[in-house]
Amino acid sequence: MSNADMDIDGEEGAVAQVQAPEGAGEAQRFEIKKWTAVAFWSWDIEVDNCAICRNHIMEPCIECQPKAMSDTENECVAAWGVCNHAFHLHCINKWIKTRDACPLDNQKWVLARCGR
Amino acid sequence: MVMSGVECNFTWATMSRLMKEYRAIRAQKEVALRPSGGESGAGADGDGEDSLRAWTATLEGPADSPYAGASFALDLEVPATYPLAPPVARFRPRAMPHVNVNYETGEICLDILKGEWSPVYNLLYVVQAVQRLLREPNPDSPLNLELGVIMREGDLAAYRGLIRYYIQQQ
Repeated sequence: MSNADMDIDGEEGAVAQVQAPEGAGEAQRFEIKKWTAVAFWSWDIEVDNCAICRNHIMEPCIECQPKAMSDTENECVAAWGVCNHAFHLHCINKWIKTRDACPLDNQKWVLARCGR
Repeated sequence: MVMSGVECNFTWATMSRLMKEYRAIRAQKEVALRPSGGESGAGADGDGEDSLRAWTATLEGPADSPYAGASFALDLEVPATYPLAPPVARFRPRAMPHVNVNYETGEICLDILKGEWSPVYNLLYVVQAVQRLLREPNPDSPLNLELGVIMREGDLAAYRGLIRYYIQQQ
Protein backbone atom coordinates (compact mmCIF):
# COMPACT_ATOMS: atom_id res chain seq x y z
CA MET A 1 0.00 0.00 0.00
CA SER A 2 1.47 3.36 -0.91
CA ASN A 3 1.34 6.37 1.38
CA ALA A 4 -0.68 8.31 -1.14
CA ASP A 5 -3.59 5.90 -0.67
CA MET A 6 -3.73 6.29 3.07
CA ASP A 7 -6.70 8.22 4.29
CA ILE A 8 -5.64 9.86 7.52
CA ASP A 9 -7.75 12.54 9.10
CA GLY A 10 -5.72 15.59 8.20
CA GLU A 11 -4.27 17.65 11.03
CA GLU A 12 -5.50 20.85 9.45
CA GLY A 13 -9.00 19.48 9.36
CA ALA A 14 -8.90 18.56 13.03
CA VAL A 15 -7.57 21.93 14.11
CA ALA A 16 -10.07 23.82 11.99
CA GLN A 17 -12.89 21.88 13.61
CA VAL A 18 -11.96 22.80 17.17
CA GLN A 19 -11.35 26.39 16.28
CA ALA A 20 -14.57 26.93 14.45
CA PRO A 21 -17.31 27.02 17.14
CA GLU A 22 -16.81 30.17 19.25
CA GLY A 23 -15.51 32.38 16.49
CA ALA A 24 -12.08 33.78 15.73
CA GLY A 25 -9.81 35.40 18.27
CA GLU A 26 -10.67 33.06 21.11
CA ALA A 27 -7.88 30.73 22.24
CA GLN A 28 -7.99 27.14 21.08
CA ARG A 29 -9.74 25.05 23.72
CA PHE A 30 -7.71 21.98 23.00
CA GLU A 31 -5.26 20.77 20.49
CA ILE A 32 -4.15 17.37 19.43
CA LYS A 33 -0.75 16.61 20.88
CA LYS A 34 -0.49 12.99 19.92
CA TRP A 35 -2.49 10.52 17.94
CA THR A 36 -2.06 6.89 17.11
CA ALA A 37 -3.09 5.50 13.74
CA VAL A 38 -4.48 1.99 13.54
CA ALA A 39 -4.71 0.17 10.22
CA PHE A 40 -6.37 -3.08 9.26
CA TRP A 41 -5.32 -5.07 6.26
CA SER A 42 -6.15 -8.31 4.49
CA TRP A 43 -4.97 -10.11 1.40
CA ASP A 44 -6.75 -8.98 -1.73
CA ILE A 45 -7.49 -12.44 -3.13
CA GLU A 46 -10.65 -14.36 -3.82
CA VAL A 47 -10.13 -17.09 -1.22
CA ASP A 48 -8.13 -16.70 1.94
CA ASN A 49 -8.22 -20.29 3.15
CA CYS A 50 -6.87 -23.13 1.07
CA ALA A 51 -10.02 -25.11 0.30
CA ILE A 52 -8.06 -28.36 0.39
CA CYS A 53 -6.34 -28.21 3.77
CA ARG A 54 -8.31 -25.26 5.25
CA ASN A 55 -5.18 -23.46 6.44
CA HIS A 56 -4.67 -19.86 5.45
CA ILE A 57 -3.24 -19.53 1.98
CA MET A 58 -0.41 -17.29 3.15
CA GLU A 59 0.56 -19.64 5.94
CA PRO A 60 2.13 -23.06 5.49
CA CYS A 61 -0.13 -25.89 4.41
CA ILE A 62 -1.36 -28.46 6.86
CA GLU A 63 1.58 -30.76 6.06
CA CYS A 64 4.19 -28.07 6.57
CA GLN A 65 2.57 -26.54 9.63
CA PRO A 66 4.32 -28.79 12.20
CA LYS A 67 7.70 -27.85 10.81
CA ALA A 68 6.81 -24.21 10.20
CA MET A 69 9.40 -23.05 12.71
CA SER A 70 12.25 -24.53 10.75
CA ASP A 71 13.56 -22.96 7.57
CA THR A 72 11.55 -25.20 5.22
CA GLU A 73 8.72 -22.70 5.70
CA ASN A 74 9.79 -20.71 2.67
CA GLU A 75 9.08 -23.55 0.31
CA CYS A 76 5.38 -23.81 1.15
CA VAL A 77 3.91 -21.32 -1.31
CA ALA A 78 0.50 -20.51 -2.70
CA ALA A 79 -0.46 -21.42 -6.26
CA TRP A 80 -3.01 -19.71 -8.47
CA GLY A 81 -4.73 -21.35 -11.38
CA VAL A 82 -5.85 -19.51 -14.49
CA CYS A 83 -9.32 -19.66 -12.91
CA ASN A 84 -7.91 -17.38 -10.16
CA HIS A 85 -8.54 -19.96 -7.44
CA ALA A 86 -5.67 -20.33 -5.03
CA PHE A 87 -4.42 -23.30 -3.02
CA HIS A 88 -1.13 -24.26 -1.44
CA LEU A 89 1.16 -25.60 -4.13
CA HIS A 90 1.67 -28.73 -2.03
CA CYS A 91 -2.08 -29.30 -1.69
CA ILE A 92 -3.04 -28.78 -5.32
CA ASN A 93 -0.12 -30.89 -6.55
CA LYS A 94 -1.36 -33.79 -4.46
CA TRP A 95 -4.94 -33.34 -5.66
CA ILE A 96 -4.23 -33.16 -9.40
CA LYS A 97 -2.69 -36.62 -9.21
CA THR A 98 -6.20 -37.79 -8.39
CA ARG A 99 -8.05 -35.62 -10.86
CA ASP A 100 -6.62 -32.82 -12.97
CA ALA A 101 -9.34 -30.31 -12.16
CA CYS A 102 -9.66 -27.26 -9.96
CA PRO A 103 -11.37 -28.45 -6.74
CA LEU A 104 -13.58 -25.36 -6.72
CA ASP A 105 -14.83 -25.05 -10.30
CA ASN A 106 -14.05 -28.47 -11.77
CA GLN A 107 -12.32 -26.96 -14.82
CA LYS A 108 -9.00 -28.36 -15.96
CA TRP A 109 -6.29 -27.12 -13.59
CA VAL A 110 -3.79 -24.83 -15.29
CA LEU A 111 -1.21 -23.20 -13.05
CA ALA A 112 -0.99 -19.46 -13.61
CA ARG A 113 1.58 -18.51 -10.99
CA CYS A 114 2.85 -19.44 -7.60
CA GLY A 115 4.62 -17.66 -4.79
CA ARG A 116 3.66 -15.45 -1.90
CA MET B 1 -8.14 -45.85 24.63
CA VAL B 2 -9.21 -47.51 21.43
CA MET B 3 -9.38 -51.27 21.28
CA SER B 4 -10.34 -51.91 17.69
CA GLY B 5 -7.75 -53.68 15.60
CA VAL B 6 -8.03 -51.19 12.78
CA GLU B 7 -4.70 -49.93 11.55
CA CYS B 8 -3.95 -46.32 12.37
CA ASN B 9 -2.55 -44.75 9.27
CA PHE B 10 -3.94 -41.25 9.15
CA THR B 11 -1.32 -38.71 8.24
CA TRP B 12 -0.94 -35.57 10.26
CA ALA B 13 -2.72 -33.67 7.47
CA THR B 14 -5.76 -35.93 7.44
CA MET B 15 -5.97 -35.99 11.22
CA SER B 16 -5.64 -32.24 11.50
CA ARG B 17 -8.29 -31.65 8.88
CA LEU B 18 -10.64 -34.11 10.62
CA MET B 19 -10.15 -32.32 13.92
CA LYS B 20 -11.18 -29.05 12.25
CA GLU B 21 -14.25 -30.73 10.82
CA TYR B 22 -15.05 -32.31 14.17
CA ARG B 23 -15.12 -28.91 15.85
CA ALA B 24 -17.26 -27.41 13.08
CA ILE B 25 -19.68 -30.34 13.17
CA ARG B 26 -20.06 -30.10 16.93
CA ALA B 27 -20.82 -26.40 16.65
CA GLN B 28 -23.79 -26.89 14.32
CA LYS B 29 -27.22 -28.28 15.08
CA GLU B 30 -28.82 -29.02 11.69
CA VAL B 31 -27.16 -32.34 10.95
CA ALA B 32 -26.87 -35.17 13.48
CA LEU B 33 -23.36 -36.39 12.67
CA ARG B 34 -21.08 -37.89 15.30
CA PRO B 35 -18.02 -40.13 15.43
CA SER B 36 -19.35 -43.68 15.67
CA GLY B 37 -17.42 -44.31 18.89
CA GLY B 38 -19.56 -41.45 20.15
CA GLU B 39 -20.68 -41.20 23.74
CA SER B 40 -18.93 -44.27 25.11
CA GLY B 41 -15.34 -44.33 23.92
CA ALA B 42 -14.26 -41.32 21.95
CA GLY B 43 -16.26 -38.66 23.73
CA ALA B 44 -13.23 -36.86 25.07
CA ASP B 45 -12.65 -34.54 22.14
CA GLY B 46 -11.57 -37.25 19.77
CA ASP B 47 -8.79 -38.81 21.74
CA GLY B 48 -7.24 -40.81 18.93
CA GLU B 49 -7.32 -41.10 15.21
CA ASP B 50 -9.46 -44.22 15.30
CA SER B 51 -12.26 -42.23 16.86
CA LEU B 52 -12.50 -39.99 13.80
CA ARG B 53 -12.28 -42.79 11.27
CA ALA B 54 -15.90 -43.89 11.44
CA TRP B 55 -18.88 -41.54 11.70
CA THR B 56 -22.60 -42.04 11.89
CA ALA B 57 -25.27 -39.60 10.83
CA THR B 58 -28.96 -39.88 11.58
CA LEU B 59 -31.09 -38.75 8.67
CA GLU B 60 -34.72 -37.85 9.24
CA GLY B 61 -36.96 -38.70 6.29
CA PRO B 62 -37.96 -35.44 4.56
CA ALA B 63 -41.58 -34.51 5.29
CA ASP B 64 -42.50 -34.27 1.61
CA SER B 65 -41.09 -37.70 0.75
CA PRO B 66 -42.14 -41.34 1.23
CA TYR B 67 -39.52 -41.45 4.00
CA ALA B 68 -41.43 -39.01 6.23
CA GLY B 69 -41.53 -40.03 9.87
CA ALA B 70 -38.71 -42.55 9.60
CA SER B 71 -35.05 -42.06 10.44
CA PHE B 72 -32.05 -43.75 8.92
CA ALA B 73 -28.46 -44.33 10.01
CA LEU B 74 -25.83 -43.28 7.49
CA ASP B 75 -22.33 -44.60 8.14
CA LEU B 76 -19.28 -42.72 6.90
CA GLU B 77 -15.82 -44.21 6.77
CA VAL B 78 -12.85 -41.90 6.28
CA PRO B 79 -10.04 -43.31 4.10
CA ALA B 80 -6.39 -42.73 4.96
CA THR B 81 -6.01 -40.43 1.95
CA TYR B 82 -8.93 -38.15 2.92
CA PRO B 83 -9.63 -35.44 1.75
CA LEU B 84 -8.01 -36.43 -1.53
CA ALA B 85 -10.30 -39.44 -1.59
CA PRO B 86 -13.98 -39.22 -0.59
CA PRO B 87 -15.40 -40.82 2.54
CA VAL B 88 -17.26 -44.07 1.98
CA ALA B 89 -20.91 -43.42 2.82
CA ARG B 90 -23.45 -46.19 3.10
CA PHE B 91 -26.75 -46.98 4.71
CA ARG B 92 -27.11 -50.09 6.85
CA PRO B 93 -27.87 -53.30 4.89
CA ARG B 94 -31.56 -53.81 4.11
CA ALA B 95 -32.57 -50.51 5.69
CA MET B 96 -32.92 -47.98 2.88
CA PRO B 97 -35.35 -48.58 0.02
CA HIS B 98 -34.21 -45.95 -2.48
CA VAL B 99 -33.65 -45.89 -6.22
CA ASN B 100 -29.98 -44.97 -5.81
CA VAL B 101 -29.20 -47.28 -2.90
CA ASN B 102 -28.39 -50.98 -3.13
CA TYR B 103 -30.97 -52.39 -0.72
CA GLU B 104 -28.90 -55.43 0.28
CA THR B 105 -25.64 -53.64 0.99
CA GLY B 106 -26.65 -50.03 1.60
CA GLU B 107 -24.23 -48.81 -1.09
CA ILE B 108 -25.13 -45.36 -2.42
CA CYS B 109 -24.80 -44.18 -6.01
CA LEU B 110 -23.97 -40.49 -5.78
CA ASP B 111 -21.58 -38.65 -8.11
CA ILE B 112 -19.76 -36.68 -5.43
CA LEU B 113 -18.93 -39.93 -3.61
CA LYS B 114 -17.24 -41.18 -6.75
CA GLY B 115 -15.80 -39.37 -9.76
CA GLU B 116 -17.10 -35.92 -8.85
CA TRP B 117 -15.49 -35.81 -5.41
CA SER B 118 -13.52 -32.68 -4.62
CA PRO B 119 -11.38 -32.08 -1.51
CA VAL B 120 -13.39 -28.91 -1.04
CA TYR B 121 -16.30 -31.02 0.19
CA ASN B 122 -16.38 -32.35 3.72
CA LEU B 123 -18.24 -34.89 5.84
CA LEU B 124 -21.07 -32.50 6.59
CA TYR B 125 -21.55 -31.74 2.91
CA VAL B 126 -21.69 -35.45 2.10
CA VAL B 127 -24.43 -36.03 4.66
CA GLN B 128 -26.40 -33.09 3.31
CA ALA B 129 -26.02 -34.39 -0.24
CA VAL B 130 -27.36 -37.80 0.79
CA GLN B 131 -30.23 -36.08 2.57
CA ARG B 132 -31.06 -34.28 -0.68
CA LEU B 133 -30.94 -37.59 -2.49
CA LEU B 134 -33.82 -38.79 -0.29
CA ARG B 135 -35.96 -35.97 -1.61
CA GLU B 136 -34.64 -36.08 -5.18
CA PRO B 137 -34.02 -39.66 -6.31
CA ASN B 138 -32.25 -39.99 -9.64
CA PRO B 139 -33.86 -42.69 -11.85
CA ASP B 140 -30.98 -42.55 -14.36
CA SER B 141 -28.52 -44.44 -12.19
CA PRO B 142 -30.55 -46.95 -10.20
CA LEU B 143 -28.99 -49.38 -7.73
CA ASN B 144 -32.44 -50.58 -6.73
CA LEU B 145 -33.79 -51.90 -10.04
CA GLU B 146 -37.22 -52.68 -8.67
CA LEU B 147 -37.82 -49.10 -7.56
CA GLY B 148 -36.01 -47.76 -10.63
CA VAL B 149 -38.41 -49.47 -13.01
CA ILE B 150 -41.50 -48.35 -11.11
CA MET B 151 -40.20 -44.80 -10.99
CA ARG B 152 -39.47 -44.69 -14.71
CA GLU B 153 -42.92 -45.96 -15.46
CA GLY B 154 -44.18 -43.02 -13.47
CA ASP B 155 -46.36 -45.05 -11.13
CA LEU B 156 -45.90 -42.78 -8.14
CA ALA B 157 -48.51 -44.52 -6.00
CA ALA B 158 -46.75 -47.85 -6.42
CA TYR B 159 -43.38 -46.18 -5.85
CA ARG B 160 -44.47 -44.60 -2.58
CA GLY B 161 -46.33 -47.73 -1.55
CA LEU B 162 -43.31 -49.98 -2.05
CA ILE B 163 -41.03 -47.68 -0.08
CA ARG B 164 -43.52 -47.43 2.76
CA TYR B 165 -43.87 -51.21 2.72
CA TYR B 166 -40.12 -51.74 3.03
CA ILE B 167 -39.85 -49.19 5.84
CA GLN B 168 -42.64 -50.83 7.79
CA GLN B 169 -40.92 -54.19 7.50
CA GLN B 170 -38.11 -52.95 9.72
